Amino acid sequence: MGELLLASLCCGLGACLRFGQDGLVTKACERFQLAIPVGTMAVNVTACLLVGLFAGLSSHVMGAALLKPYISSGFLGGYSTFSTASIEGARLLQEGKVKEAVAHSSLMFILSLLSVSLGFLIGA
Amino acid sequence: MKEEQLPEEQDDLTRQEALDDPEDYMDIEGHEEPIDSDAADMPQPSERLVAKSLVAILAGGFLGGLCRISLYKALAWAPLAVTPTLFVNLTGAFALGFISEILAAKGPDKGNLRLVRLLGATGFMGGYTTYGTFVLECFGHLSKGNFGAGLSYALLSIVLGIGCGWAGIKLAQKLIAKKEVAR
Repeated sequence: MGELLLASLCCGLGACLRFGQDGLVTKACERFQLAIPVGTMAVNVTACLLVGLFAGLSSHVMGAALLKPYISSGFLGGYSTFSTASIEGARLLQEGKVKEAVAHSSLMFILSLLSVSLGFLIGA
Repeated sequence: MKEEQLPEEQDDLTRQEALDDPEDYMDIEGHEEPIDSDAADMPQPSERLVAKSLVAILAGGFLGGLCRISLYKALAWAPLAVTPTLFVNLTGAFALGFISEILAAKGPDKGNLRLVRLLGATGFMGGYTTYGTFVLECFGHLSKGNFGAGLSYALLSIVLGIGCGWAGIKLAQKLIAKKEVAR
């Protein structure tokens, strides 16, 4: 039970970091007037780098495996978000911006996958 | 989710109030609200507002994580064709579409309504869903050479995720329209 509560708390902290970073990145990129939102992308890509890193570490570092519920499931689960990414895509489609929606989803996924791979290679 | 942004130009009358506490005076599109002498709209110190915002997100994220992790534990017993990750992500996308549309219709994104959004959408839905675990699972498939499984899982998740989000938004819009007619 304690593990569940602590992991959930870590998730809450991850969500706070996501909020802060999303806000900062969105504000910093305002001037560029980008066609797609980038706040969530920045958050998810960073989260995936850390997820990969931690997964890599877990394969050979004892301590890392023990921390998994709190860091991977907890913190990084709250730090990353699938729902927001989906809604951003849905809203782009609703506005008729099909190319942007495809670019947004595929870019986010590809960069995130690369991040996980890179993180894993570093950690393993 | 887009956070509040300061508008390019500001009416001189509200300029000072806006500088004192932008959060209370900007809605999600960056439009100014007219000055309201109602006590409920009195500007709070911005540190207080940031603290409240973070507490809301922390609480929402805590509950969202609690749900997600509990679901994972519960579903670990069931032999599923898909991972719990797909389940939480799709249900979460639907739910987020729904509640964000409902909240947007209820009024400008400030004050208590904004805190509810931070708790329910940013916090809960963000904590309930996970992009990291999803991509890690794809990586798992691909690194084992299961390119078919990895790519189809990715495509399915992303496409259905947007679809569920869309459905949630549409359902909310339907309910809102019904309520308007009934009024």
